[in-house]
Amino acid sequence: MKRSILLLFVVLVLLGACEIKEFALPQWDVELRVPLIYQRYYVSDLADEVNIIISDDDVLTLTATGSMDTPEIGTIPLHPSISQSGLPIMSGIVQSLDIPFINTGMEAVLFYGRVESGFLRYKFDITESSADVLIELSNIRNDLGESLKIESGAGSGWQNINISGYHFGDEDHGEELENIVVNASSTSGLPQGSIIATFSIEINQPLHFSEFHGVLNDYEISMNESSTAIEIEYPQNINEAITLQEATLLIDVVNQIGFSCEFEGSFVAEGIHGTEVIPIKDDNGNNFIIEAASSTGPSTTHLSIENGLNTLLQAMPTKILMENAKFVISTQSGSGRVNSTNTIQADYRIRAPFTFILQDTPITIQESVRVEISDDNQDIFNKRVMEAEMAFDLINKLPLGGNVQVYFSVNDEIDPDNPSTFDFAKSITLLSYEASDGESQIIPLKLEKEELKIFSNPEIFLRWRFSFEDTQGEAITIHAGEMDYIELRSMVTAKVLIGGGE
Amino acid sequence: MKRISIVILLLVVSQLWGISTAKSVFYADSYMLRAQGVEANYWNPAKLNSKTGVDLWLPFANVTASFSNNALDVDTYNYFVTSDSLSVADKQYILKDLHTSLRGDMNTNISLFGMNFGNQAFSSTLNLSGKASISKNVTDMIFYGLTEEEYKFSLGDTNLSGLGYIDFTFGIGDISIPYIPENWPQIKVGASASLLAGLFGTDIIEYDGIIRNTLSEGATVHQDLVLKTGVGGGGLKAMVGMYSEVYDGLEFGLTVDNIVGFINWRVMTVEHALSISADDLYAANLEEDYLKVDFEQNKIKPFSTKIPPELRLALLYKTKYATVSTDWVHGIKSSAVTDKWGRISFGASLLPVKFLPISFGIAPGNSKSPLKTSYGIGVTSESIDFGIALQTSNSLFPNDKTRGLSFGSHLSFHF
Repeated sequence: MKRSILLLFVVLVLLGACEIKEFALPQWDVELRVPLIYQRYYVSDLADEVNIIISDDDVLTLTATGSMDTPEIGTIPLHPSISQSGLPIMSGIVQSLDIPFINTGMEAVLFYGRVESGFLRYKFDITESSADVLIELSNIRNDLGESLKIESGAGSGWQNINISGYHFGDEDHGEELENIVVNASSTSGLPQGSIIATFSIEINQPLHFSEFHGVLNDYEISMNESSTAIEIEYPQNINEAITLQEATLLIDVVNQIGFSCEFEGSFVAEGIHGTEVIPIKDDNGNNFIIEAASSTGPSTTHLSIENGLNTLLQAMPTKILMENAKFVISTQSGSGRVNSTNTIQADYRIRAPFTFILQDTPITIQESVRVEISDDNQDIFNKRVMEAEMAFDLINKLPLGGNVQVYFSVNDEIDPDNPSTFDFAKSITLLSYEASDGESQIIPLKLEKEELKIFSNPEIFLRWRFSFEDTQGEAITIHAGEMDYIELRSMVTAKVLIGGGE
Repeated sequence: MKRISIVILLLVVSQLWGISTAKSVFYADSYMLRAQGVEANYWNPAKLNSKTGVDLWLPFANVTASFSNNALDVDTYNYFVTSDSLSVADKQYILKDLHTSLRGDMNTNISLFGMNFGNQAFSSTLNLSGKASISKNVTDMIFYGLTEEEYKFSLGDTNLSGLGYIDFTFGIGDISIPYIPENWPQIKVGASASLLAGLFGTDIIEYDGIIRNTLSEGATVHQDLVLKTGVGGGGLKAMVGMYSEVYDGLEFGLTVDNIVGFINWRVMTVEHALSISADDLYAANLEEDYLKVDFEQNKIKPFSTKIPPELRLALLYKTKYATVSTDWVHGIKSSAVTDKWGRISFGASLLPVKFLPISFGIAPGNSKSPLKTSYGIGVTSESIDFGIALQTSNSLFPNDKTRGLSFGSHLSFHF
């Protein structure tokens, strides 16, 4: 009995020893990891499908296309001097006479032409009142092929004939029109062979031909001045950081004129590095010859220009235009034909792959990254963070290394060149693809106490700036495939004190 | 209030050790061959014996309540609350016994009615049990933060199950096996069958989770859980048992419990599916709907909660003033009421005074179950049997190292 009571007593004493202390929460530190940023900047994002495109071989390429054209060539003016006075008309006899077609100007030789505007004048001096005279100009015809006919009786003195719509010469003759063929026939009451009248004809005003076959000499056709210049916008202002090294200029000239001609002109590039001008010449420094249109339609001449384009690119052009562009038809062009509505159009395209030399200018990403900080995390960073570091994980698929600067601010307007616009900045070394084998580059950075305070704001902003290392003058080609990018990730790791009293 | 919260927490995460009747607590569950009268209905019906007379249970007179966990004790709690700050060593000390998960079980067994007539007995008890486990990853995150890049969760380390039912059990025993060779000891067999009235049953049947937080992938959270609950149902279970006095004063016993054990839930059966997911989160890229939470509750067809069979072997040695026993039990698989690992327990009873038995029990700990020790004392006479017992987990005596307690009170009447 005593033993049992003793045992029970012992158990109760032991139970009584189970003192449960009053609850109080101690403090301890835990690790808090906040994934902050994940940004992947593809080279292909630089392409705007307008001026920056991705070529078939995935190379980022600057391209600029433009088009210029001439106005309609208009009428070809000739200044003939045709004059025949006092040609006797004999009654009852058909007479034929060639009047020389003398072109006083040296600008053209007419083979065949259709008059758009011009006048011919003639005069009959009738000596026999019963005379009836018909003059037929057999190589001046209307659209129906009917020769120009002049009949007496229209009045005395000089008479004008509007010869608009009449054709000079034979379309298929292919040789210079040397004479105007005049055929005269008459009737009268006088015996055959009696002179019954005299006939005078002259053309001493310019004739304007809407259709012209022949030879033109030093005939210039200027491009329209109203052609629009090409404006190029570069994403992320990369034109400040690079100078492109290769380019080709392709010009397709569509010629409706049946004359070959020389193409003269120059390209002007205006950019942040100045203005550059290159003449449009072939590899031998000669003007390009534009093929004549054929009977089947306009010709297209493809011109490829490489010489001097590097000079053009030195400007990293933001504006490209063709200046003083014109086409010159000369006697060397041979004979040809032209219509007043004919034009010449030049479509040109500059292609410059992103093979470039880096300038000593950083590339700043234009848009800031906004990071929202939750209320809980704000409170933690405000009161409970003991220490923290920010780790970066960089993957660089580009053949360029350098530095990445990240600027932190509570305001969106971050100007990396103005320290008052951001709270602090961090700089990270970025290895090139070759140097890093394309693998992750993990870079831990310690955050100072003062820097941590920024995370106690409801939102913060980050802005990236890339300063690529000097390529020592070596040109680098940038591709823009799916695997060409720079990836930036960051995570804040903090030792946070939890528990305890407030 | 906070102290109460801790106690409630311990209750919630406590650990059950099988279905116990009140007196089993006295011996750390080494009780199969000790059970007599109505209690033999649940421990070994072969022990139902007409020589013991009529044994009567009154409602709520026999109660056990237990709770325990596998890693936390009062000492740990006191260490935690009396520290101003926790160093790495402090954290290691607090979490030293947490290996894969913090597990806890609870069990309550309340007698509603019981009576035996000779070698037959009829009884009814209310059984409430539950298990919960929380992955060690959770406690690691609480104490260390997110030091690892990835934390995985599965049903193996995170779980919740509960079961409540009332049994109506009829048993018959003390049946001698015929045709035993004469020089063999007599073998008695018995059996009991229980009609189970299910109150509730719940189980997490699917769970997969991952929390990943890396610089290269951001934060990723996936938690997919399916919980099946049933309310109102019916079922059966049966037990067969044998025992034999193999030597003078030495008994051997064997039982198989929970034969065809099941409860079929019919009144209300619902499947709750919770899915939480968020992928590759960075603070700068958060969208409004970055966290997807889907919660669905669907009525489902009636289903059954299986109660896996459990094998128990026992030895009991009796002397005039003392008895000693050992039990070994092994469930076929784990459930709300069984464990699929084996455990052994030892019990002893002393009779320093004829009417004042004292009892002891001990169940050595293993990798799955903690050490358990029991102390009981009672008063017994020809017409009444009364006792109280306390069982501790993880300690020989109730002290600061105790990780769980079981309380048993027993009152029965004999005629």
